[in-house]
Amino acid sequence: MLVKLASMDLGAVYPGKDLGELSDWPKICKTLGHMARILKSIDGLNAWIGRVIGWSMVLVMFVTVWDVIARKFFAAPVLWAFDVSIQLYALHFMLGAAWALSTDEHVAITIFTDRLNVRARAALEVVSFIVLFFPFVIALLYYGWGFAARSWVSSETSWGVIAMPLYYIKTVIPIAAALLILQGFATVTRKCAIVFGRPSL
Amino acid sequence: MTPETLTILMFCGMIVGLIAGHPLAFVLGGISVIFAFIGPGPAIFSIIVGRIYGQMDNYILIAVPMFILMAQLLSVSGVTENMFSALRLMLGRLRGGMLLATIAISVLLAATTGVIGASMTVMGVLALPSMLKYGYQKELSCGAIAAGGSLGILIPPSIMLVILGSYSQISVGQLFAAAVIPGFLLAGLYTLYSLILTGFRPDLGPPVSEAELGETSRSELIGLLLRMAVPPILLIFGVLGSIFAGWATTTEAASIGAMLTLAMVVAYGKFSWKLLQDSVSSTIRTSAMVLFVVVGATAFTGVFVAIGGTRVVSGWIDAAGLGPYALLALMLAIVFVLGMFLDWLGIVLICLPIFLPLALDAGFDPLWFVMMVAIVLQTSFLTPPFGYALFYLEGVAPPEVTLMHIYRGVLPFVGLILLGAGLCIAFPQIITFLPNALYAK
Repeated sequence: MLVKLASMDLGAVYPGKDLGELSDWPKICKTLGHMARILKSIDGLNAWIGRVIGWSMVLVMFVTVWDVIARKFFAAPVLWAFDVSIQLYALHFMLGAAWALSTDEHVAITIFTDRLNVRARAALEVVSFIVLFFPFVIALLYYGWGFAARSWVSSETSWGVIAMPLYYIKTVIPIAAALLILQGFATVTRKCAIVFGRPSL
Repeated sequence: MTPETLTILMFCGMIVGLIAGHPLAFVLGGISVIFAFIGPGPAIFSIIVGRIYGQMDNYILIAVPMFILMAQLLSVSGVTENMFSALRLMLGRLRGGMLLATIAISVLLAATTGVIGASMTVMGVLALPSMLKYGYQKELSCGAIAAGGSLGILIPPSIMLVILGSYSQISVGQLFAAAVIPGFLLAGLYTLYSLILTGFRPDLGPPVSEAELGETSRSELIGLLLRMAVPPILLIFGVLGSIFAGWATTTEAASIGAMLTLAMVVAYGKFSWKLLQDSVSSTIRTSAMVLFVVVGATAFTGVFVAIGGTRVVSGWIDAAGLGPYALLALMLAIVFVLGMFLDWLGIVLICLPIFLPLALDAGFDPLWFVMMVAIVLQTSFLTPPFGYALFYLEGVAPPEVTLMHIYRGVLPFVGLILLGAGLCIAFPQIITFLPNALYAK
């Protein structure tokens, strides 16, 4: 289906040409079909992660309410509630960022770019992604990796009543960065497709 | 390069990135990486990642996604719709009665949830068409809905106050207490304005017809109102009461609030797993958006301090030789102007790290100063060309209402906010009375 869509667009890129003359067009179509599938899987992966991880806030809600009731009425605080809540919260927003990117949730000023035509806007977005987005998420991946690795080496734990391991949650930084890089790749590829007149990706 | 050049370039880079329409979180992050390379060297990012982890390890900030979850659940419970239909008839005999109903419900919702949008969407879909049907002026109706809805983020609980608290080292409970009277002051000014305007010009907001009022008996009405208004009011006392009494932390109170709201959804027979999944899904996307701006701003501020930006800015301020109140006016004016282009989150995260030390040096009470910023930030939702409330409302308003009607409608309310801010400067007790009474120093 996607391969078919990709080949249909080709007429728009090479207007007036008999597609048969382009010896490499089946190859292009196949590549584009693969590409469309890859981009769809990236969207799917981040949406799935978001839907599942979203429930961690519901867990925090139950754990916190349980802790409050146990502490106030039974004088038996849930010792791990504090550390577990913090880690679930960190998991929640860090791993949700890529999904928010794919659904255009991140707040941006669009009053100026709204005046541009679709292709110019897409081109501008590609530039912004390369100049601003990727340097940041790559720095987050690189330094986050080192940050997490140091924690793993020293088997770092929290200072709370119970010593919760911290290296898992610190590893979330490079993971979140990697997911953002994937999603950013998907967005930039789609914008490039718009710039080159193939919006079907 | 000198710190001065770097500071100016860093701000320019940020503005260019924002004008290009890139998401705020990644503009801040990207600029920080570029200037880390130009200035102190990329190794500073190992420190910055540590600070970002500090935001992941921040117990106060858990309240942000929790209040967002609570607002999502509240908006699916359908309580707002029913409350409006009851209040509309209750206040129907008054001129401009629906404006009052709109503001009253906005305040009620503002005291229940910590975000804007929830009440604005419902009011735009429900109140606006019925106001227009009765011949209410478009501008006035839009203004009341947008200004009332924006109170959601000033009147506690509020995710803005949670983030302000986390940044300024002031307890969130104190900030919540400080925001109560200013929030009601603004709501009072809006009400007064609507009453006076419709009093002189009844054609702007005529009363509901006797025929429609007759359809529902008074007792039915009171029954409906009780059923719909009592649970949210209990929720308000549960959440705010437990914070002000020092009984629960903000995060705990938010969790209890979310749980009670979930119970309300079940009690009103609206519960389904699909609905819960939808609420959970939009909560994670919204919170990730908000908190990633915090992540980007953490990186930005880290690099900004490292290149000497804070020293440069305070050097400029010293050189200008402003008195404390001139400085205050300048800072609030900057917040106001930025509010035309940025939303509260960006303004808070970029300005507060620079402004707060300056305000402390000038001898202002930090609690009072932070609250002044919060009050002026109300305008950032309403001032054209970029204001959340404007876009929310345009998105849900009937087609005969244009963005120009909304723009014209909010301007008087922007004036009322500035009047309210002026009152808080003249009488600081408006802000400080409640926190002083609740948290005796």
